[in-house]
Amino acid sequence: MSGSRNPSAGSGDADHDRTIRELRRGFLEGLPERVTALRRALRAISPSAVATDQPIGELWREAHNLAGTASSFGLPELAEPARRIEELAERWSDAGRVSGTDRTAALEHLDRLEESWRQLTDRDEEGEAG
Amino acid sequence: MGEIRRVVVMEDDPDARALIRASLVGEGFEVREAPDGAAGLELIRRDPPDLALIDYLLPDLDGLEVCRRIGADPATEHVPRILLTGKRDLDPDEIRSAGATGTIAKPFRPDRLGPRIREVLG
Repeated sequence: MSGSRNPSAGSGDADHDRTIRELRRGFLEGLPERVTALRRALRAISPSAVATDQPIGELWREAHNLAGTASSFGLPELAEPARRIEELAERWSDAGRVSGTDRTAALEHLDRLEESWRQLTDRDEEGEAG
Repeated sequence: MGEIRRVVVMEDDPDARALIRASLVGEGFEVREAPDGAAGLELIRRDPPDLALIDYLLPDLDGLEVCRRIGADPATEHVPRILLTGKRDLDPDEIRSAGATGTIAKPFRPDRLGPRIREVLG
């Protein structure tokens, strides 16, 4: 069985760490696109959404993937608002309706997501410049 | 169990898929990847790997169904299957009856993925 860091890579750990950092940067660069998809799915949900409403499913999947991937990259400030949106979508699917309060809450989580993303990218840019 | 070297990964999120690939390549695995169950099953059928790592929530098939289909094909029934899942309430009996060896919880730590695979496979 394989199992330890690839010794043939020589400076394997450093290469691996650099790869993970590059993937994290790519993930952050793609985040605005993910937020746009979340906003689009949220807009498409009608107030009288039924459990089989496709936009709710899309919102749930987008938020679920984002929350899980952000966590794996060690970015809880992105994972947490995404998880809240995922939970709201799950509740709407179960209840078959979307309250105005919940919709506002989802928008607030999206705003928080974007703000956290801005802070993270600013911090990364400062780190690279410094 | 023999050496586990060649892995097929099924994961729909491209960033998560790239992270899994990087984690496993760093551990010395050879990785092929698919964004959904149908493409993953085709990869496995064409050239059976030593392990299938399957996201539970794929866009076309759920992970349990993918496990069942791998097990139903005589050419691939020997391939060990591990489910990647964020769900905490999966029925262990259902997982076993679908032919999965076990599960790895999502979100995963990239540096723990290889060791977790070894733990699950025993």
